[in-house]
Amino acid sequence: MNNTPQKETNHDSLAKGVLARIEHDAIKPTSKSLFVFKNFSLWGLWGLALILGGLALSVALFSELNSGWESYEITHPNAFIFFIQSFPLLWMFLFAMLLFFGLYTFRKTKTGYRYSLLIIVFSGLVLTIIGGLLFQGGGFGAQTEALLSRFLPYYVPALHMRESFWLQPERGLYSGIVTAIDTERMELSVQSADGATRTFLTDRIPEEQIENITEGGRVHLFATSSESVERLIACHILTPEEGGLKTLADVGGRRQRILDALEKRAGQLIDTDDIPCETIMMPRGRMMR
Amino acid sequence: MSQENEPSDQDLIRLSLIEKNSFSMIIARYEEPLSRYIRRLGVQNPEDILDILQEIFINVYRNLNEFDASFKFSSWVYRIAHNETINFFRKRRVRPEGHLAENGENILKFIESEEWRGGPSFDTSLNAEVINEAIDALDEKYREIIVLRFFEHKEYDEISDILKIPTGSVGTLIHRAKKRLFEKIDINKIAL
Repeated sequence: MNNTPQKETNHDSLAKGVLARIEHDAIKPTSKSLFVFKNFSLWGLWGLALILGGLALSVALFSELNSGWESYEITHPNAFIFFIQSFPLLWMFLFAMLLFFGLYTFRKTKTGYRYSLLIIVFSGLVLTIIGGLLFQGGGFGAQTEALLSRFLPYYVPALHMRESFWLQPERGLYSGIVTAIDTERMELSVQSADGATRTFLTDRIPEEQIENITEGGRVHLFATSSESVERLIACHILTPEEGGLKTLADVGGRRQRILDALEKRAGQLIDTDDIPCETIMMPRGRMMR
Repeated sequence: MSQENEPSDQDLIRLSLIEKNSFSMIIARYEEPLSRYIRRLGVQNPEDILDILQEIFINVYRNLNEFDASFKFSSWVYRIAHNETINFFRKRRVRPEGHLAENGENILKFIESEEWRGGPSFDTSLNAEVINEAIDALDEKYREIIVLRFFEHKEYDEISDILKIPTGSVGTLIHRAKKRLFEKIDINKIAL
């Protein structure tokens, strides 16, 4: 027996048909709390997208600020190339995706459709940028990156990027961790990110630079090879400052200290007429007055 | 019964949630306007109209608790009606058919309205049919907005709620719809 209500063919009995179907199919109004939950969830997701977007932006900012801007003239031909190579593509992609997700969830809320796309995107962008700057200022960018470095083996943090920029043996640039200091033989052993351990002769390095070097510490070196000496000859050693940079002012400050150190070293090289070292460092003359 | 004594939409919703048979009052109130709206969107077969109406009211009943009093109930119901009609076209893979001939007066009023300003001039008594055909030939999104604005007499904020588009976009869409309509009317060669 067919228990489905007969389809009404008369408009007058539309109500009867509808009510009969409601009865037959046991249709009940969906609970209000479900709609409330849905709307709150959408707003919650929108908020989460903005927060995560802000966090992604803060990591991008931290990564970009700490990838070696203070010495880009040494490591790269120009600022544009440095920017391209240091650009935190993954984080900016994530930022864009989260912004888009925020736009999508906002539009799905009860009144979200009333606002134009431009307003939603613009306000989302403004809020995440503000959030990103606040997170970066609060050190969350650095902490997030440190956490990811610990748990994601393939993640390349800003610090590693900076070190890889400094490792250009063909141009006389070296970087790495000091594994041994031999003051008697005036030698320094440095293990670089490429796995190689190189030994540098430090007889030309001023005392104040040697004093700053510690075993286990990080160094950036200008060095040249010599036919008469088997080891590399260190011309100038920088001990990069540890600690994350948070603002452009921080970058500027660090850059000034490097400039001052290079200028001082330039004077010393000229005084001592150290041709090999002058040769390796002077092409970096953009940074040296 | 005077309009003042008629229960409000809110009252009817409350009653329907308590006793489902009271939902028939909502059906009675909106059956005719929605039926007209569905026809204007391009469904002419009475059986199809009835099917769509039934689906509309089932959905209305099922989602009664979703309705927010900050909205107009009619806008909310029209939104459901709009969606169900579009679903009908998609399921049946048919285009809107028929025309707004029954609304010849409405068409003429529409032409005479301020919003027609900028449109082509012509002999209105001869060309209601021409305008009809031109409206039929419009893309779905333009036809929808013309129907809502000039035949259902919905305000911009109501149209925004029905079509779920930004309030600011309603004016732009109406402007574009009129422009397309004028182009189609020109193609149909209006006699001056």
